[in-house]
Amino acid sequence: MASEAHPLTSSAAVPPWLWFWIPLFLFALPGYVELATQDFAAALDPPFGGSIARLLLILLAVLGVLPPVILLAGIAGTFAPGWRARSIERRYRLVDPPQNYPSAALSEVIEFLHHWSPGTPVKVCLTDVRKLAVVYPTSFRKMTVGVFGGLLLLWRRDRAAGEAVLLHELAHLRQGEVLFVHAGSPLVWGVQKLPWIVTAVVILQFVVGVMLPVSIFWMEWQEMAASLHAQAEAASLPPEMIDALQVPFSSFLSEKAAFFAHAQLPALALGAVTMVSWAAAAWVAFVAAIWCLEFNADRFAVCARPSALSIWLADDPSGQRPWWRKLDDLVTHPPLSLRRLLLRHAEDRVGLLALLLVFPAAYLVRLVLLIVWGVAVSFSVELDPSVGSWTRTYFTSGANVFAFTALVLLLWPFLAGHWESFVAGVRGYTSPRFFPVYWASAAATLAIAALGWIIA
Amino acid sequence: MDIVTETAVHLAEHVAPEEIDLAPALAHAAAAGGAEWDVAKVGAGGPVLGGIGLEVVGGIFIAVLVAIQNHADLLANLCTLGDTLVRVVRYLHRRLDRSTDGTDDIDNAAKERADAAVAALVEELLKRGIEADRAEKIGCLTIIVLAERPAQGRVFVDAVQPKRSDDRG
Repeated sequence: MASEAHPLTSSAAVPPWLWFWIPLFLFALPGYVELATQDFAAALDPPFGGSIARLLLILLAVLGVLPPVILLAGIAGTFAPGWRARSIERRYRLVDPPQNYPSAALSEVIEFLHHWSPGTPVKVCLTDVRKLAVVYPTSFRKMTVGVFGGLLLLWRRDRAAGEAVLLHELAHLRQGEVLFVHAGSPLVWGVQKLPWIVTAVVILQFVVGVMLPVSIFWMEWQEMAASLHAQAEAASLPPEMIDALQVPFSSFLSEKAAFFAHAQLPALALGAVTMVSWAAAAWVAFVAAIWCLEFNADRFAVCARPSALSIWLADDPSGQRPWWRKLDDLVTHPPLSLRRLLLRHAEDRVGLLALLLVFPAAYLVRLVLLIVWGVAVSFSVELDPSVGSWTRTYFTSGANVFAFTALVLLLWPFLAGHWESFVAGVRGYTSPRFFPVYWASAAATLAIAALGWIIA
Repeated sequence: MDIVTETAVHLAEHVAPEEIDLAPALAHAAAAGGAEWDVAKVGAGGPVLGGIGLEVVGGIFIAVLVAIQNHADLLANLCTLGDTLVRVVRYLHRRLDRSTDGTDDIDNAAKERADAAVAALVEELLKRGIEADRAEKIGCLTIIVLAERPAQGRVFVDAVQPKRSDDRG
């Protein structure tokens, strides 16, 4: 193979964490099932309160199982690549390139793709000028590149930029994570929607949590009023006097507000902290793993075509998108400023070190969020909310994950080529000058694991 | 190469050279109508967004197709002017060049029809965010391209007409 066609630069500078996470997740699955069973049992037969308490507990239980369900859906989605391909092709109207189509740019794009990734099928939708390119699986071992009209516009205007876009997509293809993420991925969809679902549940919890005591106070006040009327009628008091004696509901409610502020609001806030921290703990690790894939693909494109860096330095057009779309985009595309920062250091050791530490750092954040969750749960069931004991619990259970992560980082310079070869049939190369960077990141990650073992 | 493809390429060469690769596909999508054209029309005149922080301004050719669709009758009538079309083309070239040399050999009726067609196209292009000078140039060039080969121009205008009443941009 010509070195130009398959440059020595590895397209998998960072390990594809999503792949390594799956065995870890499957290993932890019985624990999730046990926890969910307990939560649902408690929700269906609540130890206190009535139907509202049951509803809240069911909501909490459903929310609790969402992160593992999302990852399971992501894993399940990989078993139906053909269905996913048909769905993407229908949605984006991707078809085989038309025969004898009079476009030099289209021929060049297809030639470029086949030069870098021989045999990769190409589909096109030339009428959609708002999109560039997409990669998706058509079977377990076969990935397809979808090319949109927008890419041909870019190709004609700035060929280096067009090539960078394709190299970015090809890097995804060579990293082997296309089965899990990118267009039509149930995993990405779930990760994008998780914050919205959590927000909706928290709001619902507050609405129910406020409405419930107010309705109880209303009933109490009506009972008081009825009793007052009965007593007044028995004493033959005039109606004006009865009205004067009756306390208005607003005054009655303000008297109860102190109780509400002291008892109900902290419970609601604690419920919100529990839900948000549990979901955020799952979310942060998913997002970090997906971001690593994007950073990786950027790095590969810029290392292969240094001139391509200019396109990432262009103005950010996402300012025109509504904020809720930007939040969804954030899951699949890291902030442009961060991408630019890492790309400026794509060729140096510090840049790679930062890239390698993204996932371990996110896992550390996950542990902190789980500790917050544990403390909040302890508070809500009136147990000793010891930060120390929860820290010990999670750092101990996380130590083996950090150790495994460190092992992967340690060996990755030697494994990356084999991985690419296995996934895409092409073998990248990691320069020995970067080996110490991998080992430094492994040492830092191992230090966290050691901390867990020490405090166990 | 069929007439729609050939005319689309020829038109794009003049009005939106950067979009020449997409022109045949867009013209055929306009001719077919339906969901694909509905999606394509969203990009008319507007920016093209990439997922990598990149902006490519495109969609000029789509805007031209939408303008042709919305004023198909005006353009089709213009194509029936016969020999006068040569003078219409000459007049539009002079208008493009803002030339004041010499006199127009075009009669008032033909000139009015040409001006009305250009004005209609320019109005459509302005609606889609294309700046005034460029819209004027594109409007004139569109009619020049269609009028230079009126038989093919007529076929093209008929072909890209909306197939449903709700398909108008």
